[in-house]
Amino acid sequence: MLQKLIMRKLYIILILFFCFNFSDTYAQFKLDLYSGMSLNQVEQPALYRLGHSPYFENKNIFAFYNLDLNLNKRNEKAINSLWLNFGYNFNIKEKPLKLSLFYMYKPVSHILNSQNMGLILNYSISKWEFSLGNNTNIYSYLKKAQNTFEITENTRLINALNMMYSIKYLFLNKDKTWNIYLNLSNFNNILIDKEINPMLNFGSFYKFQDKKIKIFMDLWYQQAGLCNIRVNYYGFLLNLGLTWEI
Amino acid sequence: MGNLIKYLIFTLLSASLISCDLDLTGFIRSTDRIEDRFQQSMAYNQNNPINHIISTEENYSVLCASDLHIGKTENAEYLFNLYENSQDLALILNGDLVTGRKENYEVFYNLTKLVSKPLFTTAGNHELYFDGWKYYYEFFGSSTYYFVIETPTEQDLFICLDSGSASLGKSQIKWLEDLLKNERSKYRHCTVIGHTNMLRVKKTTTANSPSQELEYLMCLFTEYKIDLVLNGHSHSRNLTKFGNTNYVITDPLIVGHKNAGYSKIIYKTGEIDIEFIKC
Repeated sequence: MLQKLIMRKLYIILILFFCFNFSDTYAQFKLDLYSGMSLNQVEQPALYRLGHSPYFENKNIFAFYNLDLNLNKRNEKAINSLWLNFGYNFNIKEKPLKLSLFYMYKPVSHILNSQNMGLILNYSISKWEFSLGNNTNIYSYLKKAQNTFEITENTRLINALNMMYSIKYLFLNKDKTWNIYLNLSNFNNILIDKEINPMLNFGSFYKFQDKKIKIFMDLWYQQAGLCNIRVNYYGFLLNLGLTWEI
Repeated sequence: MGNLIKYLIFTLLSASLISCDLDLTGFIRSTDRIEDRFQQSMAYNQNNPINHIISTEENYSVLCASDLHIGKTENAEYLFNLYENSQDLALILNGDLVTGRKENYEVFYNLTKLVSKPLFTTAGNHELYFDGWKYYYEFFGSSTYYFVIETPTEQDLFICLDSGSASLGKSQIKWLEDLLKNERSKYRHCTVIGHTNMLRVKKTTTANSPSQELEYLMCLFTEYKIDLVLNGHSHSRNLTKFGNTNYVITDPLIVGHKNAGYSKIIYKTGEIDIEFIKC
């Protein structure tokens, strides 16, 4: 009940934010549309996804959400994840920084859901982009599951504070019409893993001539056991889509 | 100043690499993959019957220890002697039995001769260093199996898993799922045993299951009413109850650790008691 209330409030804040700022002529609006698949040891045979992410920026503030929908296992869960993000652009000693506050809701199954909240600081220079943050993760039993499995206490599990990081290198200058990049990170808009489970991300994009539309490909490789010093393949995550700058 | 920091980092890294008895080849690619190990464990299980232990009473206890890291043997000798002379029905050693080298396996194997009662092992990440899985398999066989303790009126199920690679792997997860689906309802309590700690409620530098796998297993354990999950690996004792499942991380039994110890688990009708005991 409390989670639903928080979700509703966040939706209202987001809508109000968009309404108040749409009238401004300097506002910038972007929309990401993508489709993807996840393949790993537990998503069998694969999880097919569809998502969108509207991004809004006005002067120093920006906001976006990312809604990732489940295509092939909708009877288990309709939504894979919802990421809500509010951010602020600022400079320290002429270095451009972005500070984001986010909330991520992830229905795990008909038994559990997961909620993440955190802060991320982003800094980019020429071909590099760095992000560093921290999040807190809570798993909760759904009310229905509590009744089904007679769970009367210990319905929440709070995990240790988790560091979030991303080190991204673009092979070409940012003003080029196309680019490829490599990224080492433990999070993206649909998954936040523990700091000890880094993922390797390879991606590419191409901007069409008027630069209003960009197509992109994003491939994530997941491993298990790096900090056990015995690395095993764990899974892949692929997103293909386009970004439309309105 | 910059150079000083560089030399300091270089010296620290070199010193830690020289002092640590680690096999760093697995950073790139592991030769002992979980899928292969699981298939070998299954082959071993086919020729070795499931172990049934009989308890003459409804309530009984078992001992559990992890992270022995032999080499040094004082704590292991202490525990083996204690177990041999106790009423406990089983001793479970859930991973990191050795530091990984063959000579450590030989020392450990000879040490197990102190024990004439049931002894169960699973592989941890250290069993895999220096191509160590083949020695584990040679001395102990399977790392994925189950055993049963029968009381006069009930029986309890103990499932041992190979979690040395942090992920259980597709085939082992399927095996676990099928086992729970077909067998769980026949048993009073069910305990799942593995090395790598599933939960991370305290900050640690050791690897855990990837998030998607942890979430999947927590749901599976809820659905099949798993009473107890026994892990080690993080060298930091913890007991967390989530839903109706107790997730336990035992203290390490490694010689020289300030909290070196083991756990005693007492099974009763309707409840399980867990005691952490220092050596």
